[in-house]
Amino acid sequence: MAKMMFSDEVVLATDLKKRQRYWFDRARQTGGVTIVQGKVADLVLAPRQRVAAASETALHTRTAAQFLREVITLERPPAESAVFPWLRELDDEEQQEFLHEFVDVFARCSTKGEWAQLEELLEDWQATAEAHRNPELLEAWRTRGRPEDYSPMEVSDVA
Amino acid sequence: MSPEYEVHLRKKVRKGWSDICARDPQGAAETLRFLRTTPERRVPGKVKKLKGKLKGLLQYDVNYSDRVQYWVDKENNIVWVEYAGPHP
Repeated sequence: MAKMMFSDEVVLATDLKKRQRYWFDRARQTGGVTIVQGKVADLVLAPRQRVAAASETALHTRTAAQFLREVITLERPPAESAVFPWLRELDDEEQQEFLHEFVDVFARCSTKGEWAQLEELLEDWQATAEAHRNPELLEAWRTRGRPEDYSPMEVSDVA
Repeated sequence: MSPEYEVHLRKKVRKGWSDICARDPQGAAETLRFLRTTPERRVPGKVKKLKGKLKGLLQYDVNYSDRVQYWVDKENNIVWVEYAGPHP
């Protein structure tokens, strides 16, 4: 895995010290250079953004693996998820909708290496689950759009 | 230039909105400005699109503890606010 993330290019610590600018540019161009100090090659010089992206991918992949283990391997209903405990606020149909969307969006994000869409999906569903705890909102949504139930919300309402 | 929306508040939650105005006048002013101008604009961490049986509702987080939930009638340029108050 490490070889896929960083190039195979190595630099001796002494050479790095002598030609810092060259090796900084090489690290930027290749995505990472391994530093050899004595007989040990356990450090890497890499662009910060690349390392951050790898960490983000690892985090989301771990979350997805844990959730899919719950629902597939352990055959738990989504409502019993420890990864997304708020799923219990949704009904069965919504839990299935979430499951399908989650797998679909996770697959797309992992292909592109961009996770904003998955983060958005989780935010939206968690907000939905929380909204289900508010009976006032549920009733309002059921009876929405009757003009007599509303009044203009003016700037003057803001003190 | 996109049209400005009329914002209509459900009468039952007027008290909730007044409380938000008292607690966080700046947040309330920003909320109203947002609803009037770009109510469907996605703002990461601030605006959420509810799903499932609540699909069509949007949520704007005024601050850490308060929110408004609304839907947009694009045909008539009206934003209907269904809830304003603290997180349940």
